[in-house]
Amino acid sequence: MNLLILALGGALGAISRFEVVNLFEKKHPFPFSTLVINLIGSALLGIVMAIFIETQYVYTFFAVGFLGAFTTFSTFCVESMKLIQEQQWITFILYLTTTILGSILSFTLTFFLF
Amino acid sequence: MKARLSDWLWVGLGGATGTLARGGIAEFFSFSSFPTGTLIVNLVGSLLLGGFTAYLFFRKNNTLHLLFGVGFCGSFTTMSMFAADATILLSTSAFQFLAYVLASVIGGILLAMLGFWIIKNIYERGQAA
Repeated sequence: MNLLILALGGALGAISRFEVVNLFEKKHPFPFSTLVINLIGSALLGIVMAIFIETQYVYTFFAVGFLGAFTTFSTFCVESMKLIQEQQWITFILYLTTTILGSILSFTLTFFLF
Repeated sequence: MKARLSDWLWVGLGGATGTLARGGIAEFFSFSSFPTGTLIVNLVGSLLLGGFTAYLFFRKNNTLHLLFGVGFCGSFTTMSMFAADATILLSTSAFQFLAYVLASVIGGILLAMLGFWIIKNIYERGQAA
């Protein structure tokens, strides 16, 4: 039962990420879609971990499953790699700091607020 | 609409397996107070996606892109749990916080580059031979 909930959360999280990426224009060199996904996902995880950490099924579905799959670290690393390969140094530094500091701050803010 | 549904199927299938694999690794390392499980999935996933990005460069395949790239690698790795781990570490040890964040970010980007480089070299040598 637990594995089924986890798999379902993961599938829905991945599909949601895919659809958010599809909403954005692909022409821009700055990877806005991944940044927005990671910031929103981290903020939502703060809420889930503040309220539902003791509720096992909710935690498994939303925290480990849906939000774990919705947000992504590998895409962030590959997009950073591409910016380095294209020598877009300012965009790279901007993308790295907004993603890493932003995700930690988003989580911290909602986690302590809720 | 039909294309959209099959896209969802591939992304969902990859997402479910990537999430199950991440859950299994997290469970295995649950004894550790340091977020070893999240660190490992993020590093391994970045290596895989870096290599896969080079693979797609030589062998375009949209289904595999959705299943393995967007689905599996995207869901196997996680930014939200990374942010949660970092926040919790910061409240206990500034040193562990820094070690975790730097290892994840620098390690992840370097491993993505390594994976990309390995696969790119395999294909370029194959073409030269």
